[in-house]
Amino acid sequence: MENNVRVGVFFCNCNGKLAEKVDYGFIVSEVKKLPVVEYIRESQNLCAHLEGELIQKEITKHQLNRVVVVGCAEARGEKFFTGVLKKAGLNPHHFSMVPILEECSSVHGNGNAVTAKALELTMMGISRAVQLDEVGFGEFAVERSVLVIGGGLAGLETALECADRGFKVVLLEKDEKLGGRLLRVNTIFGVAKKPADLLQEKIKAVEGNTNIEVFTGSRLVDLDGAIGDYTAYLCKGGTEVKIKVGAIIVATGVQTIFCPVKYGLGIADNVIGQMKLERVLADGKDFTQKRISFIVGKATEDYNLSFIVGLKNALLLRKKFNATVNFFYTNVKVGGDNWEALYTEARAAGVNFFKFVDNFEIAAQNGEITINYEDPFLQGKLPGTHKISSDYIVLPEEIVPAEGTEELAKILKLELGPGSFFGADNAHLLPEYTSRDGIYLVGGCQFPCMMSDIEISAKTVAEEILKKLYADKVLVELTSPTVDATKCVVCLTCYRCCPHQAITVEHREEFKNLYKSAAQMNPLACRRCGVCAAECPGKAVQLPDYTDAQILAQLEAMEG
Amino acid sequence: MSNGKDFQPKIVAFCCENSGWLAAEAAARLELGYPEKVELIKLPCSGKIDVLYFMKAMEKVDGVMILACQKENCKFLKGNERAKSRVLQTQRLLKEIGIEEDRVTIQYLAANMGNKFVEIVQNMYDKVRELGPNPGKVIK
Repeated sequence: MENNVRVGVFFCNCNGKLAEKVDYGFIVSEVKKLPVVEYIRESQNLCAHLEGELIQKEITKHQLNRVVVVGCAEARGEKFFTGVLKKAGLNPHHFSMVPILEECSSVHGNGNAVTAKALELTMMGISRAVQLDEVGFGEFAVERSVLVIGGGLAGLETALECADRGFKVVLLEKDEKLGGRLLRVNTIFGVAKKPADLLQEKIKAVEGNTNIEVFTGSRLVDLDGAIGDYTAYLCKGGTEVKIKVGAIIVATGVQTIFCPVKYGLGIADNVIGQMKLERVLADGKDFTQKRISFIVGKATEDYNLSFIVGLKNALLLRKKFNATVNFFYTNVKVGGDNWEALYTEARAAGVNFFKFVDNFEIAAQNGEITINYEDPFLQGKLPGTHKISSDYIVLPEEIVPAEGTEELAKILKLELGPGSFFGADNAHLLPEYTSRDGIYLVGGCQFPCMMSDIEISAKTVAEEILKKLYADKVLVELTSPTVDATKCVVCLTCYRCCPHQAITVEHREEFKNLYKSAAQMNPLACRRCGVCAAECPGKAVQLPDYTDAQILAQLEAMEG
Repeated sequence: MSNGKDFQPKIVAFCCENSGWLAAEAAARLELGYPEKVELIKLPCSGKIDVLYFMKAMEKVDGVMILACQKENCKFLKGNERAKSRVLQTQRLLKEIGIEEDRVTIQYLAANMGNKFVEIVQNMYDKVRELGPNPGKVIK
């Protein structure tokens, strides 16, 4: 903070909304008494068209270097004012907003108490403004390349999208050939092409793309660095390869576990999992005139993929083989594109739907399966237990994260979300995001998803990476916390508590402490939550715009 | 100091800008009223709260609270859990010097909960009013 602080206070009346309850005259007379305040103006509406230019002129004329706006807290308004500050040659962070509209006029009645509160808020805003520091920009060299982990459909799709946007892509696949789990699928709902053909197309495109380098039979063993400057250590057939990448995309997908015991059945030829059904259908097995029962529920309630896959195959068996298809379910889950239409179509084609709740038993005997079941809807008309016999029974597999997800999460320093999938169940984050910038999720590794989701995710992630790594050198506002090296004792508290792995400890001669080292925050990876600043025992870490001095100044200005 | 019916406590609410602050704005949009002597201070995340801020505020006011995002829904993973431990730490300190622990609380809410915000503020206000003036206030 320099000594020559000249504050300009601008009062906005919001077209008469504010002065109704707050006595501006009194506040202005009180604010005038402060020695730091150089200029005060009342306006009917500060967001008005020509006000920007006017404020700009006033800033120059009165040589103001801090601006306080008393009015509302609208984010749009804040952007407008910081824009004005920039045009006037001031640092946009030398700006403090006092939301009188939100905190006084809208929520309190008339009276002196409201004016007193408004005055107090104004004083707090001015005290904060005096303490504000400049925030500059920094230029950082970044690696314009992407590492995609997983060579399934999600990985292939994302690799192509990233390559399209001019990134060098390294595609990592743990198996010997690309393709992943989709190779074992017969049809995809809503897609006319056979999955195998579709994959061949993608693989051809990937292999023909000069921007994409494919590493089969390899895996990630270690990772250093942060967005724009990751160092990934790959293991390919026993040899370690070190590559530099700017961003990482996880597309490891899922695996399925077939467990008929959960439904009281053993392994038998006529007990089929959904994935196996896909395979035998692809092989051309004949189901003509057979009786087939689908069961969806119990273990697979968390996601709706099993229901849709079951529905798709039930319709296919009914239409192609004229089979008798009985579909037992706990809940109809058709929330998605065209899914409800699929359900209606299946009903119309003659698939029988039965809801079950508790009284549900499956018994296998002499190659025939009998389902004893009570209908919860027809207790009045058709009470008692009904017996339904089938030749085949189709059960859903449990969908769990792919093998090695836990180890990968440890390497990437990510926390796993519900069901041990990568996806965080967090309202503040897009499903593709992780807690670390530069690491993104596509496909089933977030949570079991459909192919249409993969296409959207792949584009989202590619655009996001393009936004962050738009050139070889990117300009970033240095809003990440600053460290006072003289106070830092390298205790690693901030390093451990940073949720975004944005902190490194660096050794430089210019750091004036015993160890010549200090924690440093990477402005590209930092999301400025301020946790490090709060946790720092030596108060060496300060978050710009929310420094201890600024917050304590606000408390200081408050009346007891 | 009187502990009569006319006692109006002063409360500081530190607000996470992803939940509490937005909830206060939502309350303003809905034009829901709450007592005047409640001041809000914006923080980037509830995890930015410091025992120092609480203690400094307690020199002047009768109650402080931190409004954080719903549990397990912090934008920065564990900020609200950290805030919770700061509150517990402050409560221990207050207890040691003979001030009621209830004067410091953490409350969880989401950005769209204008009604909940007013409810939380009103409850805190009533509770502190019952407790009476803060005996630890520094009188200058």
